[in-house]
Amino acid sequence: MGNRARIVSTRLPVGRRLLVALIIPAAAICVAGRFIPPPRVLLYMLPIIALLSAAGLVQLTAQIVKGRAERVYSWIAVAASLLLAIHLTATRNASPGFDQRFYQQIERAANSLAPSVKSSSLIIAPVPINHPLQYELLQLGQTRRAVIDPRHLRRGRSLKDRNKVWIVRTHPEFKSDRWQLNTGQFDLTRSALSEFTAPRLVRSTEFLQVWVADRR
Amino acid sequence: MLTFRVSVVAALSNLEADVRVFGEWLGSELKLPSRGHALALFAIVLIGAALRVTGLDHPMRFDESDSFLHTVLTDWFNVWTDYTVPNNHIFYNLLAHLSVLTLGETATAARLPTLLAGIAIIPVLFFVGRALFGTHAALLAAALVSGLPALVDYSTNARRYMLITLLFLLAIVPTGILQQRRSITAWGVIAVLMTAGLFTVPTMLFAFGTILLMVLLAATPTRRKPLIFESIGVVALCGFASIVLYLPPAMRCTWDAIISNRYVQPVTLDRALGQIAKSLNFASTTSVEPALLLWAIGLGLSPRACQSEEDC
Repeated sequence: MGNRARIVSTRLPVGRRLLVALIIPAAAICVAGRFIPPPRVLLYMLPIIALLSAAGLVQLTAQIVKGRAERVYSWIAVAASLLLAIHLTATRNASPGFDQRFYQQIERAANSLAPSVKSSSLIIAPVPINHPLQYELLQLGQTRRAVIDPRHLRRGRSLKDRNKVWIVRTHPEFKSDRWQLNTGQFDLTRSALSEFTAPRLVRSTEFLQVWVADRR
Repeated sequence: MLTFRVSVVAALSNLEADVRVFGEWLGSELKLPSRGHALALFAIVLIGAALRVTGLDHPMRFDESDSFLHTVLTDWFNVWTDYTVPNNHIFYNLLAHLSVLTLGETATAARLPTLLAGIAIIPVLFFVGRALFGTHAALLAAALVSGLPALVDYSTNARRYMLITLLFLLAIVPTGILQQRRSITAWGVIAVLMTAGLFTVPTMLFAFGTILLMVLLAATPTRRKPLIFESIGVVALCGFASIVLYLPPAMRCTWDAIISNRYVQPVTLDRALGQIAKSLNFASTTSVEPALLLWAIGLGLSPRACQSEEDC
């Protein structure tokens, strides 16, 4: 007993030392990331933050559930897990988040493009559409080089031997703080298509537009 | 020559004893909880796994599709050495490459390592939490991470995040024995996990720092000084191993490509706070305030939290 008291008196309680062990690296990350790095860099700490919070909540409720703690906490934990799962599934089904809707529209654009894209066609799509679109087209049996970024467009080279060009871009009215959108790139693409007819809009959704141009 | 042989044999037998002691300690740490707790943990893991598996059909996002097309679908050598963009989380992509070779060129195959890591986090956090705060807090923490949207989403995103989180949590497990005695095996396990993390992404350095801080802050006065020296040794070992592992990509793409990530830019305070609040929320479409209040109460009380049920 005496030995235990001595050890406790010379060490920080576990909750405090965990907090210190999280705060110091978080501060270091901020310094290394030149003030505020994207929070995903701190994601590895999230389970420990959950553990600290859970320990705090147990501390708060310990006196209330004394005597039947094992059963009560087991039921609370399972119920919390189940409620979180039901809540998350229900809210996502009711109103899918930005990510889901945005990438679903890319998936649908790929489905509509796949039957029309021949080896003589080229698809031009900027970031962040290009790679997901290319992946979806690959799943639909298209070749890996079907999609190119407008920044890599070389007039007379990439467009050589192409009879049709598809342009997939974000909707001009769509605003996002996450992606720097690409109206400028679209204009650049249009200027590179001098040997093609003026692009015509064939599909427009909440986030995306699909345009097509034929060789004159 | 004879002296050398004797010292090698002595070192090996010491190591053997060290491994045995560590194994016995680990066995007692990972002892299954009581039947009621075990059933609850099993149910929580099952719910968390179901939630993650249903998210596997999410369309490919930008970063993961970039990584999939330009790294995972290539060959082993390219996965290891192509660091033209910091999107290549090498160790994760090696696992994803293996998964794609085995299961086919699909998003599900590329996401399998992160899915498994995301599910494994739940029981691993339980065992870590039980050692630190007792079974009840560990069970509640496992329940929280099973359904936290940020962790569920990243468990179906073919990127490094869940792997790094799992390696970090696994590395906390052997720190318990280091407070009691010197253990080369425990440091060896930490070194392997941290090197795997550093080989995934250099920012694992921060998680490594967190582990070392946990070890040093928990040290008794008699163990503090030896632990400082042992930590320095492990940092040197992991640093050396990481340099060796990053040598091929550095030779192909320069060291600058590895240590300076031009895509990770500082964000504004407003945006960072918004993203942190979003990560802590229990659902993306509901108000964040109740969730933040719950976190604040829990975190606020955590410095006084019990280390076991008996202490409460």
